This record gives sequence, structure tokens and C-alpha cells, in this order.
Amino acid sequence: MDDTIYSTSTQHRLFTFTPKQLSDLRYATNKAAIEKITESIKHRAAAAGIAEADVEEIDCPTAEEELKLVAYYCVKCMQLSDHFQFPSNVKATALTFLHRLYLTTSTLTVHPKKLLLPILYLATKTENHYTPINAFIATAATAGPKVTKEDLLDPEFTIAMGLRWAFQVWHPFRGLEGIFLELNAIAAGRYQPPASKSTFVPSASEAKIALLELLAGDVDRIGRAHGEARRLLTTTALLTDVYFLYTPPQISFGAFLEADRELATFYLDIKFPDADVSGKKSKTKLIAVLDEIARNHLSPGVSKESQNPYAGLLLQLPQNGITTSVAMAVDPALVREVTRIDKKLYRVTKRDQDPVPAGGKKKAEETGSASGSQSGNGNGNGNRKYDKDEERRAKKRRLEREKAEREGDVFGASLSEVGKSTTGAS
Amino acid sequence: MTTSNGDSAPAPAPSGGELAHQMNDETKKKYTKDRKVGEGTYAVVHLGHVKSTGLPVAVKKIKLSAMADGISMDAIREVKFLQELRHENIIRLIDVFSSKNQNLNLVLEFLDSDLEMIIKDTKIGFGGADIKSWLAMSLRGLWWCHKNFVLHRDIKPNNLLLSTTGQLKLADFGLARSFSDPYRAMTSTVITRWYRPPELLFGAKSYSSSVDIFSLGLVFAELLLRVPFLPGDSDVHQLKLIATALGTPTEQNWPGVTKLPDYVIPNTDDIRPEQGRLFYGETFRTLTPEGLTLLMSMLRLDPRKRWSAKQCLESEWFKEDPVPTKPELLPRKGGGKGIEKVGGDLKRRAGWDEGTDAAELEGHRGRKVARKLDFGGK
Repeated sequence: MDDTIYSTSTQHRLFTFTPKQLSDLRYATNKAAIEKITESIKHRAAAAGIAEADVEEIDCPTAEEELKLVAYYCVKCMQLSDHFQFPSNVKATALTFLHRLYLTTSTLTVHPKKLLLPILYLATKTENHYTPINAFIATAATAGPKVTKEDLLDPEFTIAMGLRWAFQVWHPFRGLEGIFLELNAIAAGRYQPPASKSTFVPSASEAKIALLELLAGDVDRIGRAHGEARRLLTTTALLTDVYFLYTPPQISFGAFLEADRELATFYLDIKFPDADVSGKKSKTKLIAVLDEIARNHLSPGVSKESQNPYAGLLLQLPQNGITTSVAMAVDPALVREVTRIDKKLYRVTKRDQDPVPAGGKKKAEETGSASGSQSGNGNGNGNRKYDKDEERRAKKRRLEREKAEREGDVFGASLSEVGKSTTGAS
Repeated sequence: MTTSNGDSAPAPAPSGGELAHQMNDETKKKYTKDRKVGEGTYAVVHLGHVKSTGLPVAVKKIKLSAMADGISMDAIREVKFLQELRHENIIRLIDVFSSKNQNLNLVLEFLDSDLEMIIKDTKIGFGGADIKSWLAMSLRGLWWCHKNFVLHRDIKPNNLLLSTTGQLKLADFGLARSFSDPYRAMTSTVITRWYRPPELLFGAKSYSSSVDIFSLGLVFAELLLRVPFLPGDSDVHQLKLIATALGTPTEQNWPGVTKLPDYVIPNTDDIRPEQGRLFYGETFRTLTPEGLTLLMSMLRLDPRKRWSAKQCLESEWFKEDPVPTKPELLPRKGGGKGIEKVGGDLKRRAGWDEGTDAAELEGHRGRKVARKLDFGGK
């Protein structure tokens, strides 16, 4: 991709950061939201005649906890998208929207769970993957979450504003196809170097011989490397911060390097042969960046126990308790942690809604986590009456939560299971 | 949950995104709407200005009624592409904000006339240097779109707007889309019929930037002739006009054309080879040989043989005398009437021309653009 073009894109202008900037932004968003909700709860207490000293401690999720929660719901969003059988671009755009939105929006302001389906629906529209809204609602219902048209459309403006009306996302898996096609062309002896480099780079036949030597008869190797890189780009890459930190072609190559280092290095050697002095310099720099992407972000070897290359910064890394693979999402310890955060979030947002602040704690404990509810628990300022309906909903939520906890998942049963039975529909 | 409109209760607090809402309100406060310059079923266009600088802007409000399934795909496409495409020859999207009842407002650069007005106004005279200038600016805008992997898909004179300083800007990106992946089907029912290339009339499900080049080639022809070159009154008629004027698409001049879904020979009794220099020279008598080469290269039947925007810009025609007129010296329309006309251009749902009433709609210029978009993916 031409750098001058990329530098004018919204992805670069609005959503590219250094690790430090990204981390700072997350802390700032958390801090602002905590201040706001604390003030609001105190204000309510004062209005109800409760002395400030008597207001129970206001326990809000930290920035670290918020990120864990969002990351967990990102996995859920990915599973939902797969349930809809949406193409990679819709899924990847939805995930990117979620990440971008929660850079400046706190989970205290709007729970990610409420936004999964609206964001997915918006992604179908921005990716030109037309899905009639009623069909969308019907498919969603087969996965469990029952939504109305209003549930899908009401948050649309909030989401769009949070995205700063930038809908274009450049995905690295498109560039990956180019690497795949070009390697195949080299293998077939059809490699055409750019004219400007023709004095340095090997001829088509030389390149072919070198590649066939490397493949040593394993003709499927290019295809396997491509498949593995693509898998990384449509799963792990979407659960990390790589889109915020690197350009799409860097990410494509990073994934390819992780998938098959030898083949990726061969490809770069063809592009930047040693004879090309300035090219060689670029290559060294490039490989360092690609290595960083592969080693620090995409490699399946990155785990909770790995050394954190970004110590002190709030990035989406397993070292920070972040789910970066679908497999990790079923880790019972992580599920317990996310359930705990979800409960905490529920309690504090509930206190901000209750007409009598003192009653907040008791009720929150009774109703528990916010999971299971697609509506409610927004940061509403209205004095909603605690009525029979609310009681009924709370009971239902509790039952759902208990069921979910039994199944080890705050979101409910796994989507594939729910899809098969009708009992999952709430 | 926010309630739908019609509820008598005061608007409930928006469901979250406080910061976003705050930013939205700040954006909204930056502009005033002065007067309405166009209204259609899809959008209302106001002339306004930036409060702090007094600079004029156009504020296009997309009506809620046009958004049955939330923000419409046309609106999303328009916002999406304009946010990315920053170029002198592409209309500038300055801001986006929502107003009460969740109306979407696009703050656009103020432009006071369009190329259609210039072509139709018999009192305005213009020559080769002027045409060269307009075409070069159109090509630059198109080159930038294509370089950004965006197909405009509705190039026609009233989507080529003109600024008060004579700069030409591509507008109306409601039908635009990104280049497709090879295996994904694309709809062939785009581009206003008079400017639609033969591959789309034959129902091609994959096509490329060459569709925009063909459309612009027909605008080029129209600038020379001062009337639409191929004004078909049905898709069949359109194909017939193309075949008669430019040649009959066959396997000889366009390998593979007969395999397109809706391929027919439109003029069986009058099969013609693809037209050459002789025809072009007779039809466009004022054009120099280099100009003819450019026009022919934009109107090739086989899309693979059409020049790219870059090739067109490198044409010798732009280098030979007379040099293109400087934008600020180009013939202008502008003023009171122009504003209303551009207000009308902007208010349209992409690809539609709305008349003032249904009866007028019938005869309205270029109205019959197909809107039956199927988005592939089947």
C-alpha cells in the first residue's frame, strides 16, 4: 500500500497510536467515566438526604478490568459473527469497531454486551454485506440473544459518533492474498520484479529455482503458510492491539512471518536482495517490526506467563489477562474474573440508576451480573421506578446468570450449543 | 432504551457514549444553517456557514424517514468514502453530526454550480481549453478514488460540481464502493443509464475502475457536443445507441463478452466494427488527433482496453496547445440559481434525480437509474 495514501486514511489519522498513547487513552477514558459516575451517585445521595460520609464506597472497575471485560465480549462478538456466517471482512470490521469504540467510551457508560449485535449489524452495512434487519434479528435469536429492531438501531448513532464517523477499516488479510499470489507466481516462474528494482532482484527463473529448492517437493507449503497466516489474521489479530499499532501490510507480513518464518524471509530476500544496499537497510528495519508483531502479539506462544514487552502499559496482551484467542475464552479462571468484573460493573451502574441510592447495594447483590439482559443498565439519568417488571427481569437475570455460571460462561451457553436447542432463547 | 419518535415523554438520555455526545454537540454548534436550498424525500440541503470564520458550507440533512433500517447504506457509503478521500477535486466532507431525532447531518464544502448547468446554458460559451481543464480535474479526482480502491459508480455532469474558484469536484458517493474481491459478485445496476458502460448493461458481476472512465468519456463527449451523446430511453435502447455509435460488442473486439449474463447483440441487422478514428473525427470535429485518441481510449468497448485515469492524465492532449484554462478563469454559472441547483444535486439520494412532482419525474433527465441493488454474497 502506498504510504502517502495510507497516511490520509482515517485508520491512520484517527486510530493509530504508540503503545504509550494507546495505554494513556484507556486510563483517561476509565478515569473520566469513574469521575462522572461517582459524582452522579453522590449527587443522588445528596438529593435523597444522605450525608456524603454515609455514602457507601463506590467501587468502579479499573481500566485494566474494563479492558478485560471488553476483550472478553470481543470474543463473543467473533462467535456471534461466525454464527451468522458473515465473511471475514464483516467480522473483522465489527471487532475493530468494538476496539475503537471502547478507546473513548467506558463500559461504565455503555455495557459492551448491549453493543455486540448493533455493531455487527452496522458492520454488515459498512462492508456492503446487505442483511435485511428482520433476517438479522431472526438469526440472532437462533444464537440466543433476543433483540428488537430498536435494540439494534437505537445505539447506532452513539456507535457512529464513538467511531467519529469513520467506517473504513483496512484489513491485513487482503494484503496477505497478494503475498500468496506472488509466491505462487514465483514458484511457477512468473515473477515480475518492479522495473525500478530489476537490476538487483533475481530473474524469474532464478527466483523459481531458489523457491523450489526451499520447498523441497513440499508443494503445499505456501498454501499451508497462507492458511495459518489467514487464521491468525481473522482470529488473534482481531483480539489484540495490532490494528492500532501497525499498518495493514506490516500486520499481513507479521502474520506470514509467524506462520512460516523461512518462507517469509525468502520472500523478503527476493524483494530486498543483498546487492540492493538501501533496500537491505529497509529490510533489516522491516524485519524488526514484523518480528515485533509476530513475537509480541500474534504468536500462539504468547501467554499469561510470557515476559511482557510493554510492561506498565495497558495493552491487549495475555500478560494483562486479556483474551487473545478463542481457546483462551473458555479458561475457567478468566471466566470467573470476567464474571466478577461484570458484577462489579453491574452494581455500580445500578446504583447510578436507583431512585434510592441506599437500596442499591442490596438489590445489586440480589440481581448479580448484568449478563443475560440486552436492555436496561445503560447509564440512564431518569428515575426509573422499581416495579414488578424490574423484579421479574432481575429474577430472570439471576436464573440466567446461575445457569451461565454452571456452564462456565457469563454469556450463556456456547453459541453452537444454543443454536441446536431452542431453550437458549430468552 | 431510547424510545422511538412519537412518544410524548421527554427524550430519554442517550444510551451511553457521553463523550461522543458532547463532541457531537460541539460539532453541531460550529455551524449555522442559513437557508434551505433544496429538499427532497431523502435529504434537505441548507446553505450555512462556519460561525467562527463565516465560510459558507452546505449542510445535508438526511431525513429520518429515509432511514427505516437505521442509517441507510447510501448515507454510510457517502460518509465512509468521503472521510477517506481527501483531494482537491473531490467534495470535502467537513463534519458529520446528528441533530435531534437522530437526523444525520453532513457538513460539505460549499459549491455553487455543476457541469450540467454549464453544458445546458446556451448563453455560456466555452472552448477546448476549458473542456481540457474540466476533464483534467475530473480525471484527477477519479485517479485519487481509484488509487484509494474506490469506484464512484455515478459519474455524470450533475455530479461534477464547481466551486466559486472554478475547481471541479466529484460529488455524490452514495453509490460508491470499494474494489471487490475477485470471488464476490457486484451489482451491475449502477450508474445513471446515459453514462453506463456496456459491461454493466450486459449484467457483468465483476468490473473495475474502467466503468468510471467510460462514464467520464461520455461526459467528455457531451462537453464537446453540448448535448448528451447517448441518451437511451431504456436499457435495450442504451445498448443499441452504444453499438451504433461505438461499434457492436463481439468476441472479436471484446474477448469473453458473449459470456456476460445479459449479452445480446443489440443491433443484429446492423453489426458494426468498433469505431475508429474516422468516426470520432467526423463526430467530434473540433477535437485534435490527440484529443480523439484520448476520447476513443476512454470509450473502448472492452473495459480491459480502456485507459486508466493515470493513462488519461498522461495523454498528449493535455500537453499540447491550448493549455488547460486556469480554474479561476473558467466560465461560471454560480450565484443565486446555481446554489439552488447544487442544493438539488446534493439532496438527491445517490443515483436518483427527484423532480418536484411525480409527473415531472417521468420526463426528468437521467432519472431512470436502476436502484435495484443486489449486494451479491449469494
